[in-house]
Amino acid sequence: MTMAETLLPAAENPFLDNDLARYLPAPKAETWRMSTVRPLKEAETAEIDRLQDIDIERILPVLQGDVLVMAGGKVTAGMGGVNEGLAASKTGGYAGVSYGYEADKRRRGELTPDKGTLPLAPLGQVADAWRGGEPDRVRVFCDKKCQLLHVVHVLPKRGAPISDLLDIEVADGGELTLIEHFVGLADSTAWMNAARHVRVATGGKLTHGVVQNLPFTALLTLTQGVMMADSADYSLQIIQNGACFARVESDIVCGAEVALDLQAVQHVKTGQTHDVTTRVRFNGPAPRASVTQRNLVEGGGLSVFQGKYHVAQAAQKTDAYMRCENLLLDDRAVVNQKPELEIYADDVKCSHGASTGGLSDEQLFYLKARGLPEEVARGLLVEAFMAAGRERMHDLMKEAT
Amino acid sequence: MLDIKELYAELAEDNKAILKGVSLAIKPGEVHAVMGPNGAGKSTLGYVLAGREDYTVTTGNVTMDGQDLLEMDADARARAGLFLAFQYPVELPGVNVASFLRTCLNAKRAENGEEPMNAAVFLKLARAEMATLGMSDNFLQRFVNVGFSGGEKKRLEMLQMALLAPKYAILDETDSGLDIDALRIVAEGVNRVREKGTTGFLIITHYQRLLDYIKPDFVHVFADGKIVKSGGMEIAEALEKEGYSGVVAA
Ligand SMILES: Nc1ncnc2c1ncn2[C@@H]1O[C@H](COP(=O)(O)OP(=O)(O)O)[C@@H](O)[C@H]1O
Ligand SMILES: [Mg+2]
Repeated sequence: MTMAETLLPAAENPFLDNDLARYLPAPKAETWRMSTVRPLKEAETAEIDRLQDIDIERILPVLQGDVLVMAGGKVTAGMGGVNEGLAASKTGGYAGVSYGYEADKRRRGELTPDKGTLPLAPLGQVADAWRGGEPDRVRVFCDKKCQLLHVVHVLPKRGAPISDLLDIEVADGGELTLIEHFVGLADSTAWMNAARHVRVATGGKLTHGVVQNLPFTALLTLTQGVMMADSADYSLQIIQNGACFARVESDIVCGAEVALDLQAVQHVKTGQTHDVTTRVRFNGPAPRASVTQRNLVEGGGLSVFQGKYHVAQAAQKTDAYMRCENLLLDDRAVVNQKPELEIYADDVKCSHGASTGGLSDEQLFYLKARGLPEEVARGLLVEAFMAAGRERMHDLMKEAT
Repeated sequence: MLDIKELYAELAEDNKAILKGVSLAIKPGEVHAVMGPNGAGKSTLGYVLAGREDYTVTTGNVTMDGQDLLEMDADARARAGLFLAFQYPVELPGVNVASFLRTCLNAKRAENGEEPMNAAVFLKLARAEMATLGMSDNFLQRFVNVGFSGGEKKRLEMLQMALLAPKYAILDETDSGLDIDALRIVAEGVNRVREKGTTGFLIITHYQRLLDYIKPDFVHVFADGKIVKSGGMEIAEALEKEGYSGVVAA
C-alpha cells in the first residue's frame, strides 16, 4: 500500500537514460513517475513475429456488429467483414472506415491537440512488411447515428514496440460506438505502442470503449489526443484485465458545453501495472465532466491513477469531478494516485476524491449471516466492486446492436 | 428448540460486558417478543446468536435443535436454519437482489443435499413472495439495499426470511422506521411464516404497536444485558402504560 516502494525518482527513471522515450508521443518523464517503466525498457526493440491468420482467428473475441481486425498494426486480409470490405474497396473505405498510410517519417508523433491536427506518425514497427513496414493508419469516420464498430488489435508473440494507429472522427450528427479490444497470442511478450487521434465535432457523440484482455506477459501503451468541439459528447470506458504493463494516457481538450465521461475499471494482480493517466483542458464552460476509476488490486499489483483538470479562465461554471476508488485485497497491493486541479476561473465546481480500503467486515457478515461461506461472500463482493464498470460496457454493446 | 443458557458476552475490542446472563428457550412455532430500552443489548443478543465476530462469548451456551451453535461459523449457523433480520440492513453496491437471493437460497439447498434452484423456478417463487410483501418486480434488478427507503430495506429482510424458511428467526426492530401500512405488510409476512408452525421467532421491538399485529406467546423485558421479566401480552401493555422503569422496578 506504500507509494515509495514503486515510485521511481526521476533520476533513476530508466526512461531518461535510454532512447525508449522517442517511441512515445508524450514521453515527459514527470508523467511517468508513478508507473513502473522497467517492463517497457526490458521489452524494448524485439523483432516482430509473423502472425498467421489461423492464430489470429483462434483468439478473436466473439462480437456482434462490424468488426475490424488489426494485427500487429496492420489491417489483416482474410478476416472477412470490415477487413474484406476495406480490401475490396477501390477508394480504401468501407462502412465509415477508411485506411491508408500517410507518410510522415518523423519518429515521434505529435499528439498534443493544442498543436493542431497533425497526422499521427508511426511509433514502432508493424507486422506484414516486417522490418521497414509502415503501419496502416486507419481512419474511422462517422456522420450517422448509432453506428457500432469493434476494432480488435492483435499482438503477435514478440515485437516491441509495435505501432498501431487510429484516427477517429465523429462529425455533426454522428453517433458512434467504437470499442477497441486488445488481445494477444498466448505468452506474447510484445509491446503495442498505440496512438489515437480523436476528434468529436459539435453535435457529434462518441462512445469509446477500450477492453484490454492481453496475455499477462504483454505490454500496451495507448496514447490519445482528443479534441472536443463545443457541445461535443465523448465518453470513454476502459477495462483493464491483462498485460504486465498497460497504460492508457489521454490528453483531452474541450470546447464549451461538452459532455465528458471517462470511466476506468482495472483488475491488477501480481506482476501487473495498470495505469490510466488523463489530462483534461477545459477551454469553455463544461457543466458535465467526470473522470472516475475503480481498481481492484491484489498481490504485488500496481494501479496508477493520474488525473489533471486544467480549467481555463473562459471555462466559468465548469462542473467537473474526479474520483478513484480502490479495493485492496491484501497488503502487498499498491496504489499510486495523483489527482490535480489547475483552475484559472473563479466560478467553477471541481473536486476530486479517493477511497482506498479492503472488503467491509459489515458486508461480509451480512452475507455470511445469509449462509454464504467466507470465500463465496468475498468473491461476491469483489465481483460486485467491479460489476458497475463492466456492466456499463455490457450495456454499451447491447444498446449499440 | 433454540436454547440460550446463561449467556455472557463482551465486545471483543475492549472487553466491555454487554450480555450479562441471558436465558431463553424458543420452540418451533412460538413467538417471543423482547422489549427493552435503547442500549440494553438486544441487538448484541441477535448478533451473538448469528455469529458476529466483534463479540466474544465469555460463558454460557446455546444449542439449536441439539447442535452447539457457538461452535459454528456464522454461515454454518444460517445454513442450519438460523436467520437474523438486521436492524440496519447492509448495502451491497454491485450485488443485484435476484442473484443475491438465489445464491443464498442455493447455499442452503446445497447444505441439505438439494440441487440448486434454476433461475426460472427461483424467479417464480421470488415474484410470488414479493407480491405478498407489496414489492414490485423491479427490486430484483436493483443492488441490495442501495437507495432503498427504510421500509424497503425491511421488506427485503422479510423476503429473505420467507425464501430461506428458517427454523429460528430473530427480527431486530424490523418494525422501526415503518409507516402503519408497511408495518401491517411486514407483520402479515411474519404471520404467514408463523402459520406453518415450524419456525420459532425472537422479535426484538421497541414499541407495542408491532405486537398488535403479531400476537406473541411470550413477552420478555430486556434491561442491562439480560431478561428481567417474562410473561404474556399483559407485560407489553404494562410497558406501554408505565414505561420500562415502572415495569423493571415492580
Ligand atoms: N460493535 C460495537 N461497538 C461499540 N459498542 C457497541 C457495539 N455493539 C454494542 N455496543 C454497545 O453495547 C450496548 C448495547 O448495544 P445494542 O446491543 O445495540 O443495544 P440495543 O439493541 O438494545 O439498543 C450499547 O451501549 C452499545 O453502544
Ligand atoms: Mg438495537
